[in-house]
Amino acid sequence: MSIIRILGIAIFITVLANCGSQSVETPSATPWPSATIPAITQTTPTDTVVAAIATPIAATDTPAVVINTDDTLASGLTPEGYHVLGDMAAPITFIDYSDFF
Amino acid sequence: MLEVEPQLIENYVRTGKMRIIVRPLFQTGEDALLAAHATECAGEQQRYFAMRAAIYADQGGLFAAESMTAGLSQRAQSIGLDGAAFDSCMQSDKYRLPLLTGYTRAKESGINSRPVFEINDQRIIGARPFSQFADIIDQLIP
Repeated sequence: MSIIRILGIAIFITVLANCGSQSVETPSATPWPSATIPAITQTTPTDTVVAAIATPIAATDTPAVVINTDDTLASGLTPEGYHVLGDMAAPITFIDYSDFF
Repeated sequence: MLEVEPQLIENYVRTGKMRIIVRPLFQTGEDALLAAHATECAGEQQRYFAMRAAIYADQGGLFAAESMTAGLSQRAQSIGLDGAAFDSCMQSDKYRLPLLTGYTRAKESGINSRPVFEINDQRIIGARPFSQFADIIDQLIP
């Protein structure tokens, strides 16, 4: 075996050995996603939330604020039993059909 | 609507030009009926409109109460009602049928949404700004 051939084999073996010893990046000890992401926590709905869900959603034009807390205005009932605010003899009648919530 | 109602009251009810009649609906269900019953019970103590105002002012608070009935009772006491008389009235459920009858009559007259208003014979469906109500009312003032 010639010296050149022996050297060639030696180089080949050396190259193979180096390939096997190349550093491989080891997995980080910190998993991905990182531990800084907040853990999901389970919460129990409060009674308030349950009640709100169980209630029909009101229209956006639902009255929000009312009136006449001072009781200085006349009030009464119609013959049919509906409540009236103001002078029963007023020339204009404004009927409000609405509901709570 | 009741953001507009105070303006209607100041401009037209307090001046004797207009009266407001409340015809409750229950399109939102049993809680609305219970609240309407509470206003009727308050009416026995001449505080119908005050109770109505107290309910509208904090509707969210009623759902946070121990129960709707308890919340309404608290509102009744907050406006100075006799709590025992109010609670007794609520327990009687005596306004339930009249209220439902009124609701049925409203539906029979074509009220199938809310809010709806009638100014003399003119029906208005849906909320309106004060200015639109004023335009109509001003034309009707003798």
